[in-house]
Amino acid sequence: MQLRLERLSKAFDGHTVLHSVSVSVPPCSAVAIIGPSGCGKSTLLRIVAGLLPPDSGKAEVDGQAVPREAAALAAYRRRLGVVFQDYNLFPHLTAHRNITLPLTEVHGLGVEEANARAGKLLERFGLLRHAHKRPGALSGGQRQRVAIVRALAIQPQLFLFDEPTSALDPEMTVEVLEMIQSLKEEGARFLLVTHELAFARAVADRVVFLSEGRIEEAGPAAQVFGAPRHPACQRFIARILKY
Amino acid sequence: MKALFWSRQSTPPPRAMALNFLLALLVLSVIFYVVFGTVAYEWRWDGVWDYRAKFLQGWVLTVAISAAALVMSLGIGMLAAAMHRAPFLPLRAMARVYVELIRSTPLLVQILIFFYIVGNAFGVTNRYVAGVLILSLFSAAYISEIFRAGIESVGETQWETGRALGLTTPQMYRFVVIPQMFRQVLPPLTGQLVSLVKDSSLLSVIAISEFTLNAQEVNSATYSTLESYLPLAVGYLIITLPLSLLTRYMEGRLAYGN
Repeated sequence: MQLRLERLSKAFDGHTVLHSVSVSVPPCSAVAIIGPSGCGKSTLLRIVAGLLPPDSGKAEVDGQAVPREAAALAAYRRRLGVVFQDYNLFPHLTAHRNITLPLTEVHGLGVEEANARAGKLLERFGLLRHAHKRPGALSGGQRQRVAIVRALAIQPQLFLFDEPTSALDPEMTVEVLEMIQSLKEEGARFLLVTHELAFARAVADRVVFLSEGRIEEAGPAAQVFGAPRHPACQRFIARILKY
Repeated sequence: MKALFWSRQSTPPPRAMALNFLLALLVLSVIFYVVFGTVAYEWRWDGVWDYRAKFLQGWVLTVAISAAALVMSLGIGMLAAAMHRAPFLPLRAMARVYVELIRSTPLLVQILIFFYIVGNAFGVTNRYVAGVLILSLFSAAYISEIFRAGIESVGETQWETGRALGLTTPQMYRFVVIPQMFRQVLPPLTGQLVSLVKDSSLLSVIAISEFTLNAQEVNSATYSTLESYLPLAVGYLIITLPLSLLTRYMEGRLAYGN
């Protein structure tokens, strides 16, 4: 993926979350956005996902600006697979129906085709025996894996992961990270917001470090993790990797 | 033995519950028996029995009026709830004024004003049509608030998820909001519908010969007050109890963990 941000700003109720950030990430398959809590990572991901309009500036993905106009925006979102921190499965639908709903209603698949695709993916990720369960009956890790299958099923051009493991305990975190890793090995492209620095280091090609609403460092993963230049980034990485 | 009377579960064993219901009914019967014993009321059912057809006609009319008002109030309630969320602000204001006005004034006053003034002005002279209309408008104000709370119980994160998946607003309502709202609103909605059935008794003031009015007439013809009003209570129970039981059953069917 290729990501370009141009003087992007966003404020909520007078509190500025992103201060005119600009960055240009050259083509690569996976980008990680890291930084302390409350630095604006999730806001940035929502703007890129077309879920939140910026106050000013623009975001460009693969050379195409995130549209502002409703119809173009809807078409843009259909090509993305977004996975949220809190899974965001619909609580009244089974795992299986959570996956097929967007397929039949948004992507125009027939019921049988959608069922077959959902079944195949659920089986592949060891979730088939949970297919008929509602999210309330699944563990956090299972919910998040179902949410990833939901995103995968629409065959998106790009995945956006918003802290996919921060609500999970360590064992479940591993389940989810392994799943993302295997998607990457198959050539999936994604933008990942995460606290898991070791994971970001393993899967991301490029890393963007965000601190207090400003991009302080951006570059190849090896360089940002191995020899960070900006003091804030050095402190952040040293402190997190210490434990 | 203790297990039959003690349980901290929200759904105790059905056998224990049945036993305890029987116990409650027994206590109630004893109280009634003692109370009626002290007033030494002389029961005379034969006079009232002659009017059994009148009771039945009244009861049937009450069922019919309630059923019509029930369907209409659900429709109007849904409309008002939708107006509450409309992007066009005059619609929102209208819905707000409607709900507050209806909820803050007595139904009796609304019936009289609507029938003698508004109804006359608009040429609604059929008292049965007017009765159903007033009852529906009254009940729909409460129902719209129940629906609104149900819609709002589906949080912003689900809307965001829907947008991310590419679902349109109508699709969100159809597949996500309304199915969840239905489960959420069932208990308060039942209470409101039971109230509607009982409130229909107030239509007796505009001479609609429903169940209550007919019972009153039997009372004035036979001078047997309790014999006229006890069947009235039983008659309303026959309508409202199944309504409550039905929604209980549906609640169970729709239940899912969070």
